[in-house]
Amino acid sequence: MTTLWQDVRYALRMLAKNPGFAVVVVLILAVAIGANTAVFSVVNAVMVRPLPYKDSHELVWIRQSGIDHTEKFRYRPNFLYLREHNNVFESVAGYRGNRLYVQGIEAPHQVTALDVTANTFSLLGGQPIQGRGFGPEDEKPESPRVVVVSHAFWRDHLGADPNAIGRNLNLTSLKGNGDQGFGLESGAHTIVGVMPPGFSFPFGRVVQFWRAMVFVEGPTEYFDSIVIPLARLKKGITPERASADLAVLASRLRPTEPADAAPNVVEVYRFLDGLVRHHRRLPLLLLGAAGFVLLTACANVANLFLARANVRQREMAMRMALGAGRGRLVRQMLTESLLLSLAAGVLGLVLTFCSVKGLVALCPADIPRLQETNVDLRVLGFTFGVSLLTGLLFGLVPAWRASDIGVNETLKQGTGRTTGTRRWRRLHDGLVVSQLGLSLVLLIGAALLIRTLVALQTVDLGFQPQNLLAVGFDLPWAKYLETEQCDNFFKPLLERIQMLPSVRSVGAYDGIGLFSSPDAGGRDFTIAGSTGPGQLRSARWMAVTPGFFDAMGVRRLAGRAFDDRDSDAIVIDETLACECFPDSDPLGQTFVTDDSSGRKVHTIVGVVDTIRSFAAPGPVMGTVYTRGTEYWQRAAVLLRTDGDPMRLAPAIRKIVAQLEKDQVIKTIEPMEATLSEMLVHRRFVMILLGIFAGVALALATIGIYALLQYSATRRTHDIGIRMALGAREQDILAAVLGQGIRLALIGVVAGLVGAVALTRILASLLYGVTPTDPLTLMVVSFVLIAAALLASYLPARRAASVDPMVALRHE
Amino acid sequence: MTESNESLIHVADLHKVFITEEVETHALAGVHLSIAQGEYVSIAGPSGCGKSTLMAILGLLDSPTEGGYWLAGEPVADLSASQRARIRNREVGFIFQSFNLIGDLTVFENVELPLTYRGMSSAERKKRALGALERVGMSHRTKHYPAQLSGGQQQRVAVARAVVGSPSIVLADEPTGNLDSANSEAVMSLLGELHREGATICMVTHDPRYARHAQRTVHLFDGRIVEEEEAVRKQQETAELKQSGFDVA
Repeated sequence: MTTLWQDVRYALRMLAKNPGFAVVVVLILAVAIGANTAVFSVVNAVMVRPLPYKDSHELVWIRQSGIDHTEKFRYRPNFLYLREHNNVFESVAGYRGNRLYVQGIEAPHQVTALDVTANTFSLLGGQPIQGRGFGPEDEKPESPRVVVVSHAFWRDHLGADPNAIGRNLNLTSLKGNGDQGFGLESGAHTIVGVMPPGFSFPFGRVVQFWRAMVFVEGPTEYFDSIVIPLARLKKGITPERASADLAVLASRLRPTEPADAAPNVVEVYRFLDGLVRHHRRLPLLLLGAAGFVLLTACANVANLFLARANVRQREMAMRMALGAGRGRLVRQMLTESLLLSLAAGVLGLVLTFCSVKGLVALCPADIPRLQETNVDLRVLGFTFGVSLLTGLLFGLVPAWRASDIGVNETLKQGTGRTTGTRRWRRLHDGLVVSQLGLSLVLLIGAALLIRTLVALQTVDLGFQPQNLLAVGFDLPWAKYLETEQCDNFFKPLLERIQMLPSVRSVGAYDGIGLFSSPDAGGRDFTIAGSTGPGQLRSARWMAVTPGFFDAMGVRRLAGRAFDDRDSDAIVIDETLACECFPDSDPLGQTFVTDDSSGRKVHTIVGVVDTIRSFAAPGPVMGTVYTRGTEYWQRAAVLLRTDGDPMRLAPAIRKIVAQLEKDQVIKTIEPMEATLSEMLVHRRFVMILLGIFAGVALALATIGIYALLQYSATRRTHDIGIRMALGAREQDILAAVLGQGIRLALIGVVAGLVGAVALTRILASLLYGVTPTDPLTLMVVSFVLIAAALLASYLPARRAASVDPMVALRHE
Repeated sequence: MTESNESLIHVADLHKVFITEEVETHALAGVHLSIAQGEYVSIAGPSGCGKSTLMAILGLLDSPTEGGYWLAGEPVADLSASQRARIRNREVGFIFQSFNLIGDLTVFENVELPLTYRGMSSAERKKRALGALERVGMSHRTKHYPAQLSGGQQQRVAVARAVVGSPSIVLADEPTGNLDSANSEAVMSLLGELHREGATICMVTHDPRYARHAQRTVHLFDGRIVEEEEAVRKQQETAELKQSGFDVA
């Protein structure tokens, strides 16, 4: 302990003697540690921090999929079998989504709700702050219907009434109705509990009501028989073990259809994994990029330490002569590097505090728990760990090298001008090459994303997104179950919007999804006249109003749009036309559908351009547009305007309020904003990679400058000898520049190898450019070499202007 | 100023003043010296007398503050840095007290180095470098690095480097200063051999034992030539002193 304190005191004294060196090292490392800590704080919030449920690591989802993609355990009888017969779960609960129309409050409206099994709250470890949760008796059909409300609903719609427990609300919900499709079920429900603020289940979703699920004996409608299972693992049981056990259980279930007899794959995965499974790549990608910056900084600082260690060889030799062992010297030097890295860690933490809000603001908003990003104990621990690791990374090699000296020779030669020169230089060169290689990988990643964004700007979307407003609706089932009811809302709505000043055209579509994608769900059909296997085709079917194409600004390629005569007419897009009629005119051809709604024949009257989006700018599934003769509960209205479409938003809200008091506007957004949001992931990665690449490039450039400057200073004597032997200024200039370019070229080769291996991670974000795009690789390599050349020029100039006499005297 | 002289080297009224922080040091104060083609001259004198400064100016590593310098009849005192580098490379061979081999280069690469600045072909460079190393008896150490050689061996490599480009004159600045007596004798005999083969040599030494190897010794004191003596006469005097029982070492 005493010797450690001695080491610390001596290290502080040495650093105080050379404050410039210490400050430079701390600043370089602080930037790198700060970048890593900031990114980790996001990773921590999104992927590491436990979910706010009791022992949340034990909570799992259960998925089961056979080749027919059925979810057997979501079928109520199977769910009950699973609950009774499994050996791996402490408890199994279930839920299904619902939307309830709430009456009995000041402003009746539709809310998002869940029907849950009685044990759901206890399984999650969530307790109401008022009243109670559900008990087994609440699941019985003869029991009164009960609900637990969210804190937000209690506060906003019940006035935070302390006597809310026991209050009755009339709730209307959708239920299966046999061949009639869907029906409504209405009845009084008693509030039995209020959940605490911040409680949400499923995590991150805004649910206002949890209603006790009622289990009725006997056959039920499919709609009512869906139960999504969740469970708590028994102690010591892993999800993998549970998956294996459930696979056996699944094989015992009675197949409902022949296809169900196929082998099943059961997947049991933790809540947190389920939450982040689609968002894992982005934070990890950025953490990797920040790691590259840290490695670059470590290589940079290691070079500085190496240079310093070389200068201190005589001191080390003297210490060894006085009896210090090699381990003692390594420890002494490591103490200095660790002190600096810890100081950098503190400064990096300050930088994180300053930058983390900006980082979160830049992040795509759809990443779950992003807003929970902060600096907690785990982040502090990460910073401390990274600081220690950093200190070891950049300190160990120089310390080891510095202590590997011949005592006698070094003491005789002073600073040891010739001892181990080549070995030191190789190490210096290697560190600079690694910096250049790492920064090249980051630069290539950023450049590929820049090229992607540029390429996306030139994508032919097939429609005009400018001055186009999309208004999405979600009409309450309770009031708009029948199409006639929907018509009564939408028809006057469109007529009134059309009359607004500056509105040029108005259209609507069925609201299921405006943009197609390669894997969009399709509806089967055949081309009339074609027979035999393989003639069954699939396309996306979309019901639109006749004004849809004008409002969207979709180019008409052939035929016409819909008119009032059309009942069976369809318009297809270019993708489907090319796919189905590569050598013939699609106009007048017919498609035949034969499904649960009966056999229908549809005649093609027009072909329009394929509508694409930035989310799926490449090949997409073909689309069939049918003429919507009736409106739908979730329709979306599109209007093309003169000038900024958002100026019309207040007028539209007013019209909607006149037609329906409920809050039925789901979204109101200019199409350009919708498209821009599709680029947010790419833009975010590009910005951060750009920042990291810039920092890494700056470090690498400083690194090559410092190395050449140091090398030229150390080799002043050699330069003098060369000049004495006839070397001209330009010979020396060329030699130093050559050294810089040689390092840059090796760095480029190393970086290219790394980039080819690593940029594949970016593949899903790229468009119009491959991860190994030769032009990008070439241009970025050229930029790096140019930067290296620039960084080499100043030391080369200085070396070339050395006076040979002065240089020969230099030792 | 023009000077017509048959000497290989001719300096006239050479001055060199170093100015450091208001202090003027007159390293050379009016030196006149001529060295003929094929001559072996030693420059002797106490420390600080200006020997090395004179050598640096003769080797075009430094410029005189005042005075003229003709090399092979051409004025070289006021050349540009680039012209001086070219002459150094082709006309002058240096041998330094501390060998001044480049630690990062092998023996062969050190010897080859002056030729690389001439733009000579690789094959020619190799032939001449190996020839020079053969001449000094170091051809078996071509792949070694300087740190792997003894002081005597390093100086022999330095001699090979000095002569590899067939310079007009070899300038040796205390070539034995860092060597033991056996190695010193070996280097001196190497220089004698070069001289017998026709090389012009100018050597700085403060050791009379080695100065006598030259045909002529020039004594410098306080930046001026105070005495010139013929080596033969000096050798006779030395012999007489030895016979009288005095140790001249």
